[in-house]
Amino acid sequence: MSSHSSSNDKLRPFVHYHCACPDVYSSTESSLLSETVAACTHPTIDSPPSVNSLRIHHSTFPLSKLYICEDCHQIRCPRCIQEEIICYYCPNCLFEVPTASVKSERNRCARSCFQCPICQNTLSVIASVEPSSATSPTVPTAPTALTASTAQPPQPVAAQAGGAPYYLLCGVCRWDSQEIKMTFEKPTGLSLQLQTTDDERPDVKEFDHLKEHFEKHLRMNTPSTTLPTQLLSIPGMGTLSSRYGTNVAHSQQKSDDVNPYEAVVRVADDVKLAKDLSQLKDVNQITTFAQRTNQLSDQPYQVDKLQPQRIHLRTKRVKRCRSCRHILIKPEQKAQATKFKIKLVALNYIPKITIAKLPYLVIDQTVQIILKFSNPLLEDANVSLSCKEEIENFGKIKLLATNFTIGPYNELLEYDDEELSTEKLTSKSRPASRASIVKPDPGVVEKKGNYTCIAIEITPLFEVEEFKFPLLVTHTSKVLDIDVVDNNETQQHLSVPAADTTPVASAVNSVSIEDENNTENSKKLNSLTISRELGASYKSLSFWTIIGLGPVLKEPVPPRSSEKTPSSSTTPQSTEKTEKHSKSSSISSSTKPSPLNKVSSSAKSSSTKSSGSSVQPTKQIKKTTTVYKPQ
Amino acid sequence: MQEEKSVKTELSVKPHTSRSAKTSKPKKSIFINKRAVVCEDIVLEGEIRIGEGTVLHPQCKILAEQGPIVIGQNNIIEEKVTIVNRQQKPLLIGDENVFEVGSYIEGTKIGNKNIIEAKARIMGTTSLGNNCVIGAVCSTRNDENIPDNTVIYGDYHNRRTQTNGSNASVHTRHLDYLREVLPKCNYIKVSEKPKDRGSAREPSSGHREARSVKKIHS
Repeated sequence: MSSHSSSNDKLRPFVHYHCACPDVYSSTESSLLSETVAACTHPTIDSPPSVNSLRIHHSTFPLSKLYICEDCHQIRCPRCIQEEIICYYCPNCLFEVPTASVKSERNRCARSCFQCPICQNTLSVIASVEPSSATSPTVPTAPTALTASTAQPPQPVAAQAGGAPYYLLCGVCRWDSQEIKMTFEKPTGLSLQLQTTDDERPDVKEFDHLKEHFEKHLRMNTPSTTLPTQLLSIPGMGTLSSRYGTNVAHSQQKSDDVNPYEAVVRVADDVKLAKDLSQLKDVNQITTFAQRTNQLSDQPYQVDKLQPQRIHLRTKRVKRCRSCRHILIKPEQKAQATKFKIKLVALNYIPKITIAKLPYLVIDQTVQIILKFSNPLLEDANVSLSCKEEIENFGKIKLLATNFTIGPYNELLEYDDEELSTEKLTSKSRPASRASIVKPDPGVVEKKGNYTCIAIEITPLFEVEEFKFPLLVTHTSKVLDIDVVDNNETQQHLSVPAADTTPVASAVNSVSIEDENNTENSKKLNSLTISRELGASYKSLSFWTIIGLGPVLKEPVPPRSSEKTPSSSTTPQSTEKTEKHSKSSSISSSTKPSPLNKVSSSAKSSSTKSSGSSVQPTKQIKKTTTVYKPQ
Repeated sequence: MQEEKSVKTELSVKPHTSRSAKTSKPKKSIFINKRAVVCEDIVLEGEIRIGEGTVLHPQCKILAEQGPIVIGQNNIIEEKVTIVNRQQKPLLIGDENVFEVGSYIEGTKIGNKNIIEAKARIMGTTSLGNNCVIGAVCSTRNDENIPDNTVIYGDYHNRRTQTNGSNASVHTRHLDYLREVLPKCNYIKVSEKPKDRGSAREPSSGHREARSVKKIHS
């Protein structure tokens, strides 16, 4: 199943960002300073990542998985960060487990959180006698543990006194711990109550014995201090390091001075089990693989031997840049808090690229795709693109816009987006929006708000399952605070004509920026002097992206109603808009106009809304909705 | 479990503004027991009988396209539930079943004390035994007999047989709560001639309240 879905993912159009992991690709840069200087010149047009290599899958990621190191001024991927655990907690009761006791609790919740042995969902504790329903004749009491309820001392709270034997119930598959004769006298601290029975299990006994046997040996070796302290906080790491450390340090100590181990528990013969299994008739009588691996200690084949397992603990982690050790991600220590103290995700720093329009790719047929660049920054950003004209085994790429600007992100504009677009169509009253209609650069299809859509011409030359090409993106944006290192960068990167600059320091003000757009072109040339005067600097970041466009077809496909949708990340609204623009700019569009789709879908949604059915078995329902539509 | 249910009913509590006039077309023969709580703004079509104590939330649809649909006592039919009978034979629904939000029911027979969870589907000419659970978004095959105590759950529509009986007191409390709350926030269908049946009865008094609210609106 999983492999199937992953193969589907591969064929879906995507935009992945390439991370030039420093320790993978270039081991020479070690010092921090040289790193930052070299960082900007690092990805060049001459060294595109090879699209066909298998390695590319390990170094390209969707934008959502990437981080930004502000000090190195580089993209960091999950491969080039370092993680430290700062907190263990139970995902169900959100109890924070102190690091010291994680090991003794076997990395599972030690309170009342269990997962279902059948379907692995969280179990809930249920009182088998209904509270405050002493007169109710309906309650089916548990066959067992009646003695427990009588033995229970009378308590002031009626609910507690009533529901004496408690059991675990799965809300999904309705598994019930009474099935395996497991009941509890109290609704809290269930795992403590289970502890005694747990300790008697042969595998637990054996393991304890084994641990005892080797612990004598392990304790003799003093924990070495070679490991950094952060690593020592990981349970088990201390012993691990001592084991390996001592082997190196005190090699004179023999490692085989351990006494031979003798098992205490004899494993029962499984002849009977094999016989039972051979006579199996019903698939529900045997445990599934997932159920067996979930209960690693004994991995039973009989369903009735499945036990509820305590829920695994989860961790919160600090993530660091591996080259400069600065923190990229730092969550709040508390398990309940979902915020982050430090959160340097790439999504907030570099433009998000989505595929806004993607016609079918047919061999030897030139089509235009539209990429949408959205700017997350509060400043204008300049983007320049470059890529090789011809990609081996794929086809030809022609960038129609190599250099363009993206407007700043404005939270307020996000809310009245609709309003803005309608205004734009009538082109009334807003000089700023009218200005954005004027195309400043060739190839720019649309520029509005904080995004710019650009067109790329593609001519596939080979029939491939997936057409992909690398694209070098250089993203330049203004930084308000002055930084020495960045000034150096400014020198280098102002050769790229930068975006308009707001002479006011309060560039965040949206109105001023929009006005600025009018005079953008005139200011382009002297942007350097302006930036000098104000002491503002530019940050530039180059990175490769890999853009996958799906399969290339041999024959042109006649457009159907089940038109291939563009990238999942684009909104239909934006697509529609780009198409409107593309018409005016005489772009050959081979896709079916989506407004039609939109109308039909909206009509459908409205009808379903009124009728109130969202279930699929459609034909009949639809009929009835039309009949009964309130008029 | 119980908590979940109460949340659900609270969700249903929001007052809807739709006019009460849009209920149904010319009814063939719809019989609603006077002790059933049936909200307005539902679709009833064909030959339908609704038994004593059954609660129908607004926006559910019961469509007896061919044969009749007979609903027993103390069932709960939540919002956006669709019950369809496309066979000539009657679709018999037993007692104390719960049809959760958005479920879709065809079939020939539903037993007692079943729970059809949200967006679950019973398809074709399937018949359901007693005390079964069709889990959220699960569906049956087109034509099968589902034995008693079957649970269908999970992504792959796994099946197992449950051992614990459904908790009847939870169901009665659920019903009591709905009978109290639903009339406060919805217009209740007046079934037959509303004889003055015990002035203290909750639904009728709630019903009167609803009427007065309507007057204010208009």
